[in-house]
Amino acid sequence: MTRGARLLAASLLAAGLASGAPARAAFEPDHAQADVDAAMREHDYPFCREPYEPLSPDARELCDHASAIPRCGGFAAACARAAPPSPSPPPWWALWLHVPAWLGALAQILVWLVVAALVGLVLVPILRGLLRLGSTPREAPREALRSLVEAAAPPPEEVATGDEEQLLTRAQELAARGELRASLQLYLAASLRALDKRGALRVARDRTNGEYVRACADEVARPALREIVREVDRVQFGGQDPTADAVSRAGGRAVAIVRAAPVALLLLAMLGGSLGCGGISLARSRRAGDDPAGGELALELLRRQGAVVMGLGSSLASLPLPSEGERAPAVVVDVETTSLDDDTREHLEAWVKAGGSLVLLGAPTSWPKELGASYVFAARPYRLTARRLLARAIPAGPDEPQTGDDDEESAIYARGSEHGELVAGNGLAVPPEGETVARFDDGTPYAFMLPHGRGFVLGVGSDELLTNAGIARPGNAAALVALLSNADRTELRFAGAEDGVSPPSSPISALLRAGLGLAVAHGAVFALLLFVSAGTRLTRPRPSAPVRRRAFSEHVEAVGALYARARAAPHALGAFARFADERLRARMPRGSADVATFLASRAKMPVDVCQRLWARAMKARLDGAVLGDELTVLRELCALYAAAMAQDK
Amino acid sequence: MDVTLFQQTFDRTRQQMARVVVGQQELVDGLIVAAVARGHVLVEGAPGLGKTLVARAFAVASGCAFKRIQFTPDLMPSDITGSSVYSRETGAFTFMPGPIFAQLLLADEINRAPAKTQSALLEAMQDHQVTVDGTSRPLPGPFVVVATQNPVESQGTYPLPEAQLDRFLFKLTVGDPPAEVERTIVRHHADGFDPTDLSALQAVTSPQEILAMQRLAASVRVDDAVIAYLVELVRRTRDDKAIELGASPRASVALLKAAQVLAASEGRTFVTPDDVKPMIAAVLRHRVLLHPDAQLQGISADERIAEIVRAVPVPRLAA
Repeated sequence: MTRGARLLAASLLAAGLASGAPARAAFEPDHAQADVDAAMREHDYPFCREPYEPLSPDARELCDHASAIPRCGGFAAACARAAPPSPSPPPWWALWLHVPAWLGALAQILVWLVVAALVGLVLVPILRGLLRLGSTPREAPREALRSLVEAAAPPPEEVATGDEEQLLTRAQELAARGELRASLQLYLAASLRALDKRGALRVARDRTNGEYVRACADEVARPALREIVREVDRVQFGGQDPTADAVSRAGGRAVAIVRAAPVALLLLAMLGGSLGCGGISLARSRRAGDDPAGGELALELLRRQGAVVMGLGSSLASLPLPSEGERAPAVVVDVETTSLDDDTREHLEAWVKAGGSLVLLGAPTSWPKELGASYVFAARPYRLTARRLLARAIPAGPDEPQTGDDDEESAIYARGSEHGELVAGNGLAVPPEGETVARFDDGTPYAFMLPHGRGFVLGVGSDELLTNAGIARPGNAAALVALLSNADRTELRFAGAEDGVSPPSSPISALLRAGLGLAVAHGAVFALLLFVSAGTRLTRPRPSAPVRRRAFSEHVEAVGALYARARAAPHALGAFARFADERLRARMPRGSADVATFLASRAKMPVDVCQRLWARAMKARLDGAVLGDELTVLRELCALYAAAMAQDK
Repeated sequence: MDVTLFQQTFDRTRQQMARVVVGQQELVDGLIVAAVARGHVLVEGAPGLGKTLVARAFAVASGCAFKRIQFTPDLMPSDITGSSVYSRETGAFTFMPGPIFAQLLLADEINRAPAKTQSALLEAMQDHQVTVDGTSRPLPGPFVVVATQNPVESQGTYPLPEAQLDRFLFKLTVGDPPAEVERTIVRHHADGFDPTDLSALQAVTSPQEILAMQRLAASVRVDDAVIAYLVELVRRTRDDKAIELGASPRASVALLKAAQVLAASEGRTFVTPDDVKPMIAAVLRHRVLLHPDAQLQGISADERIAEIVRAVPVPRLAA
């Protein structure tokens, strides 16, 4: 099929689709300005009337649009306020004041020293707390005797259950009902629970109230805790009844302990707020659409133009490659906001080659190198003319012959062009295979369409037309619609700021990529040191329990069981026969050779019985055949042998 | 005497002793507590750690009569108790009291004397009297024996029998002082301190006051929960697998008495578990006999006692 035929087919397809589509097709520049005006009316975007101030650098770059947008006085006023003051001549004394370069280095060192001091201020209490956990608390001379039993390490914790606030509430209820003893105990429990939670002490069932007081690391809470403990001890061990006044005092102390942390946090928050750290609520909050450099209006315009606009929702590096003939949604990447890493660029290039439609906006230096695009700056004024695509030729299949008629147009454009105006002349040098779809008045290309494999790339020199201020300028909406019609898709997926980073292959690589490599290394070293220190303590040699020696009888039984498992009863019988044979022959009188008869005479047993048993044993010794009587024979032979040898005693 | 006066006297004695004794606070406190609890102290430590100085300082500060016996293998019981001597002039036997007739007796290196001689102390320590030639003679009150022994040298020593050990209220171990304390000790000597001359000390209490303190301590209230707690602690020593012979009921009583003194020294008229816990090791460490396997494994009595203390819950006020 020739390119002309494919173009015709595409036109017919577009016409067919158009006939079955709603009355208004997608990307119609004629309606673009009306859509923008309607969106502005309906959504009342504040970027024009009351933009967020101070204006961001991106918004300030768009200030030239302010005067051209109707009813945009707020933006113009904000631009006037944000205009940098004209450089004034330096004061007379500045000429005489020379700051030597080494002063900067000194200032840096001082800053680092301050940072180190702050870190030290945080770490020292933590380390002291850790050390206090592992050592006996320093005691007053009066309490020296107490260390006699506290030298050993403390036991595992048994932290009381229940929330301290609940305990406090229950204690107050009990006190109101007159159950003073129970109330007192709950006040103490609430205080201990709160201090335990705060890390000021450790609750354990073997610790006395006095130990809690002495171990309390919270210097402020300690006197209050001592008061409560004194009252509890007086009631419990002193045999005295609690008084309402004393319980009330203890309750006050408990409340002070329990609520000390929240109050401190509140004070810190207030302090932070007053210093501006946490004072966000005092500043003016951001509203949707209040940034002239934002993209809300452009997205709304595209929706009103019939496009399906969505966020990408995944990493660009993990876009699935489109299969042959598949019309995957176009992906819009603004490289000014979405930085692309090498893996992502590589994948995007492969994705386009496989048939994807990619819209790239912004500096071409951040685009994939394979596209061969570069910057060219246009001359003022930056008026823009964009062509609207009506139909594009279906790309040739890999097995279709090239007919050599490539000089034919590959796309059909609308007869008229759309005009807009920008504040920056960021043009592009179009690669040889590319086709310009928008240009400045001086002829500098602003956007081009570049076929790449089965897909194509729509490159745009800047993202200005996607900004609120840019699109609100009369004429620019139609230019944007005409421009994006070249993507040849009505479904657009906009990449987010983080989508240009390929997903990490492992948690470690994610940490490294996040710049936490050094922290991870420090953590690993710390973990190793901890492991070694704890391991060293745990590997202290301890004498193991002595191995119990097995009795000889147990050994014999074990050997017998081994023979039985190995079905080696004939072997056992043969071995015993050999053993008995050696010892009996040593005792036989010179000249005699019949062991069985000698055995019978020594054991005082019938000769035939002895001969039968001995013959069976000798047979087992010779052939080892299993007959099933081996153990019986062995037992009887053992008895005979024992009787025979008893003669020696 | 009331509890406040008790506390003041206790503190005064401590402060007075601290004028000549640097460090060794456990030993000082243990000695005062034992004296008020009508107990005796066995001190174990290497030579040169101030054991004798502490005993002498207490004797001066409390106004008690002090005697010292150096225990040797050839020391005879009569060398301690005294004996009857024939008088030519009167033609009768006259009792010559031995050094045991003192209020604070320092039995130095008690394990150097054979068991027979050590036993001469048994009646004195238990009943505060001495029987010689069939006549019982009471000892002056208060009567406190401070016995020392060296843990390192074992040659030529006679370990104290269990019955004798049980008579001691506390066994206090004296370790090397920290460097800072040692520097202070040396500085004192460099400034002219003479440990044999304790004239700088003055008596801040009297034997009568100590007797009054003993009576007051005995009246300090002990709740049933505390008694149950300390009894449980002692009983656990009998069930512990690493301990061959646990502490006797006498240990429970000793623990109680020591806790009462400690409570009064804090100005309280009742005992809390907080008064019991600090005394446990000192009261029990010489009363438990470790299993040989545990000894071979290097487990000490203090370690086992600490384990037991950790295992026994402290009594709490029922909510």
